[in-house]
Amino acid sequence: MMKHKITALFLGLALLLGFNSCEDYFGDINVNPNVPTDVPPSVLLPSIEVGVADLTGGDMSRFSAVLVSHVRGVARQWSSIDNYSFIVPSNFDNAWRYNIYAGILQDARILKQKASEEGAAYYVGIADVLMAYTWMMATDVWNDMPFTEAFQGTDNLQPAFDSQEFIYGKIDEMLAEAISSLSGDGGDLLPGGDDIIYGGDAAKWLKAAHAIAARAALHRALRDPNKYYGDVLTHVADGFTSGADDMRLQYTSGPTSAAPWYRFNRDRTGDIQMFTDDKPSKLGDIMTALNDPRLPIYSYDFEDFDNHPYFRAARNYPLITYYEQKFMEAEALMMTGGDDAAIHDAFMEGVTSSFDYISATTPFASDSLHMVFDSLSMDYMAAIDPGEGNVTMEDIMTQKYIAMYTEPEVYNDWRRTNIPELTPNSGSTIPYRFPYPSSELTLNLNTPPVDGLDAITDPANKVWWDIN
Amino acid sequence: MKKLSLVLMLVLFGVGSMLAQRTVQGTVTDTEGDPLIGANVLVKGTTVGTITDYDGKYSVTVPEGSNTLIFSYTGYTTQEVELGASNVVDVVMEEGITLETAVVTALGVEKEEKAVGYAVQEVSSDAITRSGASKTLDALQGKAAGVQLTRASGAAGGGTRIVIRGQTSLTGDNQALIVIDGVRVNNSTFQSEGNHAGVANTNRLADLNPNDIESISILKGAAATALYGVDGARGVVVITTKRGKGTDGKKFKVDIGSSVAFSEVTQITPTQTTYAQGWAGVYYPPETGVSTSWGPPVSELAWDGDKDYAFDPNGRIVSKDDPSAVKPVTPYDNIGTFFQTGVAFNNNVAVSGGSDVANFRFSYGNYSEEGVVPKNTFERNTFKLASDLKLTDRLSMSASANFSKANGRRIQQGSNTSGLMLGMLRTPVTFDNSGGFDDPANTEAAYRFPDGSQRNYRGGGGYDNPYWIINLAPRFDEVNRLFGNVNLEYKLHPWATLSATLGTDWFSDRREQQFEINSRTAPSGRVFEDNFFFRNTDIYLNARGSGNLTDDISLGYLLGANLYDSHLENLYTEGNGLSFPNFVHISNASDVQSSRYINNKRTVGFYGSLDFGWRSMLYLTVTGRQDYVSTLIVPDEPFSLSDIGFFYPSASLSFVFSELLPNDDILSFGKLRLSYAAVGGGPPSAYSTTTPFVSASAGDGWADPVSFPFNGVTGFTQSDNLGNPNLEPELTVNKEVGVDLRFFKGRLGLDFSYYTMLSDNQILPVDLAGSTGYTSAVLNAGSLSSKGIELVLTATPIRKRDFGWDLQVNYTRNRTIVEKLAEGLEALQIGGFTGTGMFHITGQPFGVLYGGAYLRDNAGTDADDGLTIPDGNILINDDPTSGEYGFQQPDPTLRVIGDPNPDFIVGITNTFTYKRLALSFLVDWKQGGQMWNGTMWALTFFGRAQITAEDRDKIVIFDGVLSDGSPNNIPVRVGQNYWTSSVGGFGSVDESFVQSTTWVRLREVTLSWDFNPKWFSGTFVQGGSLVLNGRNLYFWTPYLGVDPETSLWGTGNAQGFEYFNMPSTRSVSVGLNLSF
Repeated sequence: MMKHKITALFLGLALLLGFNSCEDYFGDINVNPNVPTDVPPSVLLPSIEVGVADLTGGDMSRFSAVLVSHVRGVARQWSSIDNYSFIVPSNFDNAWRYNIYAGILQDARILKQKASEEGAAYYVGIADVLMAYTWMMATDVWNDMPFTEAFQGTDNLQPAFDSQEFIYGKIDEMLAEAISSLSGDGGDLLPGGDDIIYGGDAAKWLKAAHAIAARAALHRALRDPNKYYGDVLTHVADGFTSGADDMRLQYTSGPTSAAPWYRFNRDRTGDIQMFTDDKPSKLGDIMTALNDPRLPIYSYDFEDFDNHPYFRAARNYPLITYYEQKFMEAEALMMTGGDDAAIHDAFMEGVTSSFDYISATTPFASDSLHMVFDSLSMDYMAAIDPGEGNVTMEDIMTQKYIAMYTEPEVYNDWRRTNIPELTPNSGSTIPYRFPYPSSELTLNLNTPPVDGLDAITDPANKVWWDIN
Repeated sequence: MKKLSLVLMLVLFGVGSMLAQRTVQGTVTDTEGDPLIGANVLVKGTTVGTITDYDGKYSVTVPEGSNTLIFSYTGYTTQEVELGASNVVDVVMEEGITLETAVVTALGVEKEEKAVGYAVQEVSSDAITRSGASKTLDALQGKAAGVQLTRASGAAGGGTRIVIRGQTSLTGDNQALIVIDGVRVNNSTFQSEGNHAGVANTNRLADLNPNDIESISILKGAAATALYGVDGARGVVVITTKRGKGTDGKKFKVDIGSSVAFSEVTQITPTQTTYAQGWAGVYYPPETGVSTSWGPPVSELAWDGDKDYAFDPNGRIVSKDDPSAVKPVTPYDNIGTFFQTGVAFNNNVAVSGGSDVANFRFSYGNYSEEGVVPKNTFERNTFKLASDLKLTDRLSMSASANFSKANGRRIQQGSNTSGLMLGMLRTPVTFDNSGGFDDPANTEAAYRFPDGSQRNYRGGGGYDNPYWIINLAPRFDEVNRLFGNVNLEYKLHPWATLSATLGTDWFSDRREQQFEINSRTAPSGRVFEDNFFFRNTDIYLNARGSGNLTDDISLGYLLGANLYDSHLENLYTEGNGLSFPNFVHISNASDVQSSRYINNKRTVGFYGSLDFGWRSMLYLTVTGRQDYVSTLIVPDEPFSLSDIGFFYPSASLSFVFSELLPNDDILSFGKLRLSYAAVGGGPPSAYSTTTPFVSASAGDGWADPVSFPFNGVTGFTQSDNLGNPNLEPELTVNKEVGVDLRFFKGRLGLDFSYYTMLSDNQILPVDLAGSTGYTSAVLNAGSLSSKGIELVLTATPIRKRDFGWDLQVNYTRNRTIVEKLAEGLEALQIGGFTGTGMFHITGQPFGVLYGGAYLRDNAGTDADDGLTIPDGNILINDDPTSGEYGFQQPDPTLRVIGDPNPDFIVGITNTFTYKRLALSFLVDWKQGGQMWNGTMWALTFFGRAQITAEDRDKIVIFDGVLSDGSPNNIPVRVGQNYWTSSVGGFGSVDESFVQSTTWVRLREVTLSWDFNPKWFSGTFVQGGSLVLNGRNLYFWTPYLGVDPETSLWGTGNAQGFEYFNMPSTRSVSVGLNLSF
């Protein structure tokens, strides 16, 4: 009896492992409980926005700022970047791979698709604006990039490169689509607090779309001045109407949500300064000569990162601004034979609104210091005012160069106009572009071999619009 | 399940009946009449037994119903003696080889050694306990061929890596599977930070008390381990723990052991004591924050005696000619004075007892260590209960439970501004980290100013003062663990024994890392709590039987099923920005972020094995296993079992060819082994088949990223790693040939194995070009091959009554080559820094060092494969306008610059016995293998490496050629300009810092003395011993740094990287064991 019971027990145990419906036994065990397989648009948008701001204010800003002599690399790797020798492919993997392709653009594509399915027009429009903004920032420094064959995962491990001209065509399409999406009804699913930039305000996004479209036209102005300067003026007419419309992202003082330059100065203390005794910067020289009241704010010791008035943790980071738009307008008016008064107004409004941005966002130690700054600003503006009819391209581009401190757009302006005239920190040529990242060079054999210092200072490798 | 096992324990512990019995006595001698000491006497069919004493005498209580005694002794033929009426049985043993010796093979099946067609090596409990090592893996050092063990560091509680026969996986776990009493237990080393920083973590096999081990069987090739399935492909360490035994008439037996060990640091990267903090020959005081020691010679400096100077009670440093100079500066020793003598106490007590129907063993062990780094402690308490119960003639049960509690207080190390060695070695000799205090480790003023800021040589920045680290950046951890098993066995029929084994392993590992405000790693203060919870279930159901079909043919079979289920959960909470000092606690953090991670895996396997034997001469074993693995499942898609299952076979042959030879006094035994085995495997990681969304972060690699929630807003991003729903199983194929020869009746033995391994279709994350929209994808891509030789030589040159000499030599040689990565992927980084690290490179050995080399004149020519360092002359920079005129130059192409894998490893153990004294020593020789000396690389930049003092004013002409091809003739000074250039410290040339880690070391010396039991006659004491032990007493190596037996990447795959690693230790211990 005992024997049978025991045999039965073993058989029972065997059946327990029996495989009548063993698929059920495995059940959901390989379902990842840690992460979602699907998410709503409201959590994709903030990560895309922060991604865009961090890209703009991070690598793009620092490398551009060194190249246009806004700042100088003074220690460790940044002293080699300062002499261009360390502007090497491995420094661009992060931006290209993680931030742009697998980050912002991949997520924005998904956002757009999800939002389209749900009829959420404003999300669709915002996704297009952010994609256009990112594609433009990327192609402006890398020229040709994979577009048509990109985002296919393992189905296409080596996407072909599309020309910059083609990509700009796509940027135009995205912005046109965005303008259309943002002009109508937003549907039932509307962005709100998840939109860190504009809090879901579609009207402001619409203005931003126009401002970005103006920038996209301006970049190509050398290719066809009449058409593109005209487009600039068309878009600025529908663009920002004051600094309150600026496309900016508000960082905070928390350790994991602080602004990019602050984090850099905190974690790489002493690597970059605006200038030092040994290493002057063009921007420092210009501002010193003009006795510019913004200079002490810009050039405050980067090592004292906690107290830096400009590169503070809780910075309201500009992505595209009213002051930039006013300088674009002034340039386009001038190049299309516009009215002297209008040129002068746009130029002076650009300078004024730059001061307004600083006055509004800089934490002055006291009200009286703030008043001193404002009063110096008035003196300064009077001093630099060339008077109606006397505004030159030099004036416009110099003031734009000062206003857009460390903004990546300055590198585009300088390549287009050669204003201000810069002396290379080393060698005879300032690089015309960024090298392709090492990951793309290694893993995608379609990548043009633009890698070393020779390649990025070779005029043959200038970006398509740069025919200056 | 837990309840059930508790009930079983109670039942088992309550049993202890004693039946009618008799006592048999006698003497065991050899053919020359000399008594054999320590011969085993066992009552057949029971677990009752004893061993002979110094005079060869024994006394054993034979239970009623038993009438046979088995006498066995290593090197002698085992005898069975049937008992007659007499209670005195004297036995004469004949020298011979114990072919009947059983070895433990897969799934705990004992097989006759001669029937085994693959390499198995056993390590006895004596060898483990007498090694003096507190952790099991350390005790195995040098004791088995084919096994490579690497201690991560000398820190108290540091981990050890075990790899058997080289690596089988490119990116997965390569450490051997650990099986204790038939069920697998976790031997992970969980990391809380990136591998290059954080603390030295413990590998979890350390939770087993080595004193509880009866024997260890090391299964090396896949044929030996095929029945263990996927995880067995890495080799298996089968540990059998001690159980209760017959206790010779007494109710129970008590063993106690106590030892104390003292340890000290071995060697440390040499640093200079000649030059002061400074730059360009000018002294810069601490408050300037200057990080380097490129100042003037210390001999030119003096203190001004200002006692109010915060950075030094001797005052400010001035030139010795300065009017304020009062006392010449003498260099401070910040290194030698920092370390202390480590002390470790090890106390064990075990109680065992039993009869022919039930037995038990209970043990308690306490190990408590204070390391060579002050305030680095590790403590382990282990409780183990094992019990066996014979319920009926046919049904028996056994159970064991091991509870352990381990506590550590650990110190930050490695590439980390709070890393202990990093700050210590960089400190200039003109700065006193101890602030002039006698006991700086316990004097806050030594490392902290009254305002709470840190007192260190770099003023407000830099790295932590070592005394700050040990006091204000501690890591606390506590592991509570229960593992054990219940086994039920039923003899249904001579041809059918059924067994069921249930094993489980549960633990929690709770960690808290504190960084006080003003710690360099987190100036605003940080605390994190990192909690791991692990649980597995391992169930086996087996049916087996064996017997003789004819006089010539024997047959055995095994059929079984195995279910393995594991669950790992990690909850991590980090708080940043402490509001006020002296309370480093999550509740004091202004910013708290938390994450949770769960990993579930399940495998079901069905297996079988058939053993054929013919005339004690030919043995053939074939096995097969069909596995179903959860990691192949694609969620949300219907699947059938065939989608997640795969089959793999093995066959092994043992041919005892000596049976064919005439009896011969020279060759006593000879066996040829041949085996083939395939082992399948699923994706090593769970959830590889899907692409999820993950909480977003944004950053650029230069600074800590922004992460979500961002200012209260949640953000997700699609994972950059593309999952793959179409994965195929991996396949590893092993082939092995071996020969086992014994000469002179076993006095000399030689066991040789040669094996090859090819692991194909390996599943690994492969880097993708960003334009694919992903940064990596999981693919069946890689391929890895190994081949190797193992040689075990055993000899007993002398065996006399009073004196014996035993020798064992283990030789290991393995080559693992990366055959293929993914299509178009030439290199895959597995560890290291950007620019220098361990990479898998197609055609190269496993995990080679890859980094910067000198530019050579052949670079870029046809002679350059673009991968290895090309032949040719080093090109010297001959541009007179360059700041590096006359120096070598970095090659812009990264190169293979070193191979961390050793050429071979040899362990030589000599044991001499004289009467009751035994002396054994183990020499451990590792030939080859290279490591990148990142410590030296960094210290040259800072002017702290010894070499920077020796060469500081030296003018040399470097070997090399100028751009026109002529020999270099440019004299340069090898000073600050050189060492801070692009070919110096922190420069882009690593080649010059790759050094050989060859070593020869005296790993173990043990002197033991067994007390004469006569001393204790009339007392309750039965015997005892005194053991003196030394570990790592001496080593020789060309490596210019810490003991190269170290690994910054801990127990992970990336080896060969040294960057401010913790130094190793040497230790001596004395222990006393008594039994009652």
